Amino acid sequence: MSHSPEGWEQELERLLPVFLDGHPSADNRRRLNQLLRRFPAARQTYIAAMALHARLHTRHAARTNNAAAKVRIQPAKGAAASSTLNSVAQVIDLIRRPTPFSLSIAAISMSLALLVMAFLTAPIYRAFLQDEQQAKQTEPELRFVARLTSLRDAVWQEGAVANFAGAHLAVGRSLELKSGFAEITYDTGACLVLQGPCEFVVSLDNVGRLRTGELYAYVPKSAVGFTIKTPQIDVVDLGTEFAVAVDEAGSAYVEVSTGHVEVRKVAVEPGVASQMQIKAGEAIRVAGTGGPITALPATKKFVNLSNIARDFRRERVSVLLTNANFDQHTWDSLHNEWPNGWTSYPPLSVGRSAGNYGFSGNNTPGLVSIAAHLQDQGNNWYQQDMMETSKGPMDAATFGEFRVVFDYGYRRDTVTSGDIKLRISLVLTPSGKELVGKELKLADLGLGENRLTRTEVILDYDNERAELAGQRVALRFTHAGTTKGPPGSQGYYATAILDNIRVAAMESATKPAAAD
Amino acid sequence: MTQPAVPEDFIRQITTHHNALLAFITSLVADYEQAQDVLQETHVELWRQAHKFEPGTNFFAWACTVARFKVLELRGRQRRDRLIFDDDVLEQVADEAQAHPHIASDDHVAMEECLNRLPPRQRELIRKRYAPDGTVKQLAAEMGRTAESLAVTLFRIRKALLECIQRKLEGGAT
Repeated sequence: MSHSPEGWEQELERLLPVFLDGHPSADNRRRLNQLLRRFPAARQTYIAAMALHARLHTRHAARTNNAAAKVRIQPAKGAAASSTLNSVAQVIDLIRRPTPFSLSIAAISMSLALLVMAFLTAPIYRAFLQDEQQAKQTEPELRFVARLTSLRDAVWQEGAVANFAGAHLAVGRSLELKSGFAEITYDTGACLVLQGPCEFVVSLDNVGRLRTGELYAYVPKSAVGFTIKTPQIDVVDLGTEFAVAVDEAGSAYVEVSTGHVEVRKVAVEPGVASQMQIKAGEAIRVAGTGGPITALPATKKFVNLSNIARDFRRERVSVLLTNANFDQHTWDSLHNEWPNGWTSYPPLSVGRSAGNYGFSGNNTPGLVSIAAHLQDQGNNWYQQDMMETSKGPMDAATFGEFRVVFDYGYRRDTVTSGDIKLRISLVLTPSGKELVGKELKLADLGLGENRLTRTEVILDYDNERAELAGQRVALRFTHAGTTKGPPGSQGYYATAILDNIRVAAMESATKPAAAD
Repeated sequence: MTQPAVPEDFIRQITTHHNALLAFITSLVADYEQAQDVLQETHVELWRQAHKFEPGTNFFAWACTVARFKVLELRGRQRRDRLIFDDDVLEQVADEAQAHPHIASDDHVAMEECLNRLPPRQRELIRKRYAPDGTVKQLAAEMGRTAESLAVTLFRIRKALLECIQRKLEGGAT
């Protein structure tokens, strides 16, 4: 390998993230050795990066574990006393820490042992322990028991945090879905789909609370006992599929598709049965004011929801995109560079007025990594041929449905001008003929913090048309203009941001099942 | 039982240089967990030899020498194909790391100031990455990103931090 004097920096910036946060391969190690051997400046950069890495570890460990100790160990009797206590605290840490090298603690000198003994019996250490215990009591531990596994047209309440597909959900996490559908999968295997409007809380490992709204649950054997709590009843699964609806008054309706569930009243009332088992095809209702569990014929009102739940569970095939997060190296259309893997319109030859560029960090405040930007330059786009993992280019006839998950935002730090129309489409290449497309509106909220929102768009088309066989299909993101004027009229005043794109193709062999 | 004398200055020095020594070792093994183990062995060795310490001499240089020896011992126990550095590169890195400004100067204030200058999302990302038991893999899963892309993002944040700290070490205003 040879490096130009200018080339080592780029190579080192590619390698260092692997050494700091990944698993370096033999080739990574070989390349790092070559770089450091040859370039003194590379050694300096490497050492600085590792020093910072160690200091950040030390800082955060100290902040979370030893905050109390740092507060307590003050130079009450002069600086020397403080130093002694600090060093003893570190040595205590040294002893506590397990070592893979069979370190013999007995080898530590007796003077150290005496120092430690003196410290352990001191009131100051007892105070430290008390503080540590209090800290444990006051800082609730996040326990993740479920994940948001799929979303469809999901719109969350204002202020909802990080409700993106793949998000881990901790005990106590509340989800307020305004509209659309969200699939939650518990680690136990229990799976449910919420339909907005809906308020749901992840209560415990195998328990959820439905405050209002509708859900459809699919519970495999591994999760038997899965419970949905409502204001008046608990619905305990006995291995089944069922739906629950709770209205604003707190009344609950339960309908079983397959298997059995047991319904238990939360409050025991004299003369009222406190529980009832219901089976497939049956339903019950309990009023929000209490009263008996009333058996009803199932109305099959959840046909649509159950179909969506099945649809979510269909097998998905990951589609391979190159540089889907736009982070490979730095790139900047102002310097005539496009992101690896992507093609762009207008073509590179148009130069700096093209309006597609990649910026992050100080360049676009608020972003933590490079993202693709689209100014309003007249239906300008980014596009990439999709690859079917390990099978080569995606054939337009193989799949008819694609789920596209991505982060998007409106650049708001300098100027805004009208709602942006961002079109997400599938096109044939090289013809560019659109197979299907959907438009996403990026509302103009005026100047403010740049923030990316994750969303999912379903793109489907009839893939059984004979002319599609053998044709390649590409994913395209187009700036389709604004509400302020025709495409191209607003330039950099209306810039869309795009990042972290993932695509899954749905197995076309499994069509959504008909209603039971 | 008689308590052997441990020079007070030795205790002060081992405390003062704790973080710098850990940073030095981390640069030699390129792995923080492993560096902690080596630091532990280095501390034990330093305590064993505490009576040899002469106040007024360069404690950090002595500690680095012991640490280098401990790193070599560790390499002797590791499989050859697992070693990060070739011998000659390790020597180069060790020689330069000992005098490197980011290792020798444990400037907490500069790092705190620079951390505070980060945008809130970046600061939060760093906090989560370095939280005890925080792993990039787990963090990436929570964020719905790949570990590789998150590693690149983290590196860019660290780079900005380093540049900020460098400016402060050089006496710059920001």
